[in-house]
This record gives sequence, C-alpha cells and structure tokens, in this order.
Amino acid sequence: MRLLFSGILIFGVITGFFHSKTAAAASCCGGGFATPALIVGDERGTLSVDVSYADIATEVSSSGFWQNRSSPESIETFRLHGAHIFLDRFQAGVSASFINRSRQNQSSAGLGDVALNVGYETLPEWDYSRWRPRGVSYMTLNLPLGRSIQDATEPFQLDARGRGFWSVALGTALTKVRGPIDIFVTVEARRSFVREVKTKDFTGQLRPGYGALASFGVGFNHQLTRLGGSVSLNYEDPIETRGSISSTGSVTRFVTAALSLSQMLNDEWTLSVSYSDQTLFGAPQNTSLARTLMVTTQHRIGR
Amino acid sequence: MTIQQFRFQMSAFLGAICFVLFLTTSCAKPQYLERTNEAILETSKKEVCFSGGSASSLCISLSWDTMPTETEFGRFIFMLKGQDGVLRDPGNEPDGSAGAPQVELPKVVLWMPSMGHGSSPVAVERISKGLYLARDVFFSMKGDWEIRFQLAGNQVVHAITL
Repeated sequence: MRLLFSGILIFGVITGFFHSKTAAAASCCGGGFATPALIVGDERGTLSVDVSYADIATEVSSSGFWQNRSSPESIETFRLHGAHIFLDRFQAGVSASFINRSRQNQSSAGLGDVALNVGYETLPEWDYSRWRPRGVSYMTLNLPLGRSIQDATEPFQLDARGRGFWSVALGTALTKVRGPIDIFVTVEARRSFVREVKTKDFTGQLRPGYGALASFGVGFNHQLTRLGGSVSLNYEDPIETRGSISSTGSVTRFVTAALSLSQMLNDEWTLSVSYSDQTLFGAPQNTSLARTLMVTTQHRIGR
Repeated sequence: MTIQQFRFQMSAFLGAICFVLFLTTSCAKPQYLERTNEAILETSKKEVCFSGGSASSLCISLSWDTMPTETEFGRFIFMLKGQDGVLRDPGNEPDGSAGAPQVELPKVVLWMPSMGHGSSPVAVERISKGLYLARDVFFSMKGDWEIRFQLAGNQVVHAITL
C-alpha cells in the first residue's frame, strides 16, 4: 500500500511543478522554465507523458492592472519526461516539450526548452518517523532550445516557445505520508544567465536575474485514487536590457492553484487529470494568466 | 478513540482551518484597467524631441490613423518638425537629381520595457517632407509599451499603455 501511495504522490509533485512553471510564461513570452523530472517515491525509474491545453485568459501589466483577452490564445503542450535512479540515492532526469500555440486562426509548433536534472535523496525514509519528511534535492539545467520571444518572427510571436536563457536551478522536494493524507512542499531558487541578442529591433544584452518557486500540496488517498490540490508561488527578477535599447524591466510573479485526480491502474501505470488556474490567488504582476487542463500517464519501474 | 487518532484529527482540523484562512485572505483581487481608444489617442499627442547628435533639432508627434487591435495591425502618421515648427526630413533633402542622397527613414521599434522584448516589425514610408506613415503596427500583448523612433544614432520614446 505504501508503494501505491508513493506512486500516486508523485503525481502531486509533478502536477504542482508543471502547472506552476510552464503555463503562465508560455502565454506571453515563449516558454516557462522546463520542469525537472523527479523520482520522489520508491521507484527505480519513471517515464511520463503529459498532454495539456492552456487558455490564456488575462494579462496583467507591470503595474498590476488586469485586462481580459478578447482574442483567445491557446497553448497545447506535449511533454515527455523520465528519470532513473543510479548509485542508490542519486537520480538523473530529462524533460522535453513540444508546444503548439494558436491565435486567430494562426498557429505555430515546435520544440520548447529542455531540462536536465540530477537529484539526491537527502532525507531517505529508512525508518518510520511521524514528522520527518522524505526529501529529494535537485539541480536543474534549462537548455534554451525553444525559440525565445526576442527571436520570434511569426505573426503574434507564436513561434516563441522557450525562455531564451540558460539557467540553473537548485531545489528540494519534501514529501510526507500520514495515513490517507499526503503532503508535499517544494522550494526552488534559480539563476538565468546573460545573453547577447542581435535582431532587427534590438542589439545588446538581455540580463535576467534570480527566480524562485515555492509549492505546497495536499492529497487525500482512498485505495488507488488520489484527490489533490496544490498552490505554487512563482517569482522572477526583471529582465534588464542594455544596448540599442535600455530598460530596467519589471518583476514577474504569479500564483498557480491546481486540482488533480489520480488513479493507479496497476503497479506500473498511473493516470491523472488536473486543472490549474492562475487567476484565483495572489497579486500577479507583469505576466499572462492561464487556465490549463492536463492529462498525465506515467509508467513506473520498480526497484 | 485513541490519543493518536484524536491528535491526528485535531491536526487535520487545524490544517483545514489554515487552508480556509489561506483561501479567504489570498484570493486575487483584480484591478481591471478599462482604457478607451480616446484615452490612448490622448497620450499619443505629446511631442517628443531628439536630444544630441545630428537629429537634435527634430521633434516627433504622431497621430493614429487606425488603432491596432488584438487581431489587426494598426497604422499611424508621424511628423518630423524642426524647432521652428516646419516639417523637415532628416539628413539631406532630395532634389530629384540623379545620385542625390536619399532621405534617411526614421526607424520605428515597438518595445515592451517590462518584459524586454519587441513586437512585429513596423514598416515606415515617406509620404512627403517630414511626414511619414508607420504601418503593420501591432502590440503582441496588452500593457505598457514604448514606440521608439530611431534616427541617426539617437532615439526618442512615445510611451503608450494598451
């Protein structure tokens, strides 16, 4: 039963991660940071496929004013991610996305950013403890393979599918199961690196800064079914530009709330449906807000 | 009921209370911005002047011909004037003779300073002396934008909020 719980718990963490990091930034400025693939349970390896549909509902200016979109834009994402244990407590993973953006009868599809991550089980669960969580710390490298909004050339900049920056993130995912209840907390700090740009409109440097993510989720498990919810807070430093155009940028922040329903089909397969909304909580700033529906299928490899 | 069961139920109850408090205090309180085209046109009437360099004596004012929407390009006419208010072309004026230097067209760049990116390229055409048409004007998202006029290494900015 514990193995089953840990398997379903993975979906809570994955859902919280995916919805918090990819949905919002994808709407306006290409892609969000690629989500790391993590093993937080007792598996030896995992392979997952996510299919999501996001609808861009609202835009929030740098001053915090909301404006609804009258011209809808949708983002369909197909994501493949997998992770595998090595040396008992170490793990490595990769996550890649294929993104299709549509607006006003026009669309553009292509590869998004790719994430490579390594993790280490810093808090293993060798014996029972009422309060001590299980923890996995990780480091993620974001490869900017998706075209950034600065390089986008198609109408409505629909070919922007990536963040455009190399970045490194350090984070920790803590999980705890108590009876039918599971809880997870994730914290992450990231740093994006300076990039030289030469386009028709701008020649110079894009200077991003630091970013942070904090997620909290709770799930209720009944036999092979899990109902969970999560809230994620996301922050990014301003992107400063230097060169032919100088601007100081503005911070980006948003809160993503997600609800998920997961069903373990057997020991190896799990199916999950989740919904997230970025218009419900917090004081978003300098971002687009999306509502996303995602279906995830995961295959687990036992130890 | 054992003590452990009681403690667990109390913890779950307190957790639920905290969750409800979180929901009620953390809900988004959106401030919607309703701007009319008239308000946008008003902010565009301001004249801005180049400072320094060969374009230091020139000022720009713009007038919208068609406002861009979320789905359609817009266009505006902008005027280059000297400090005496007379329409001028930057650089040498064409005299129609062969080999006469061409008028340097100002470059128009749409820029979103809060996010550090631009929008679709803007095409500029000369209508007559000091009078230009900027077409294919499109802002990829709502918010605070800058219409940057670049000329002879200098630039001036019209700020606009959509």
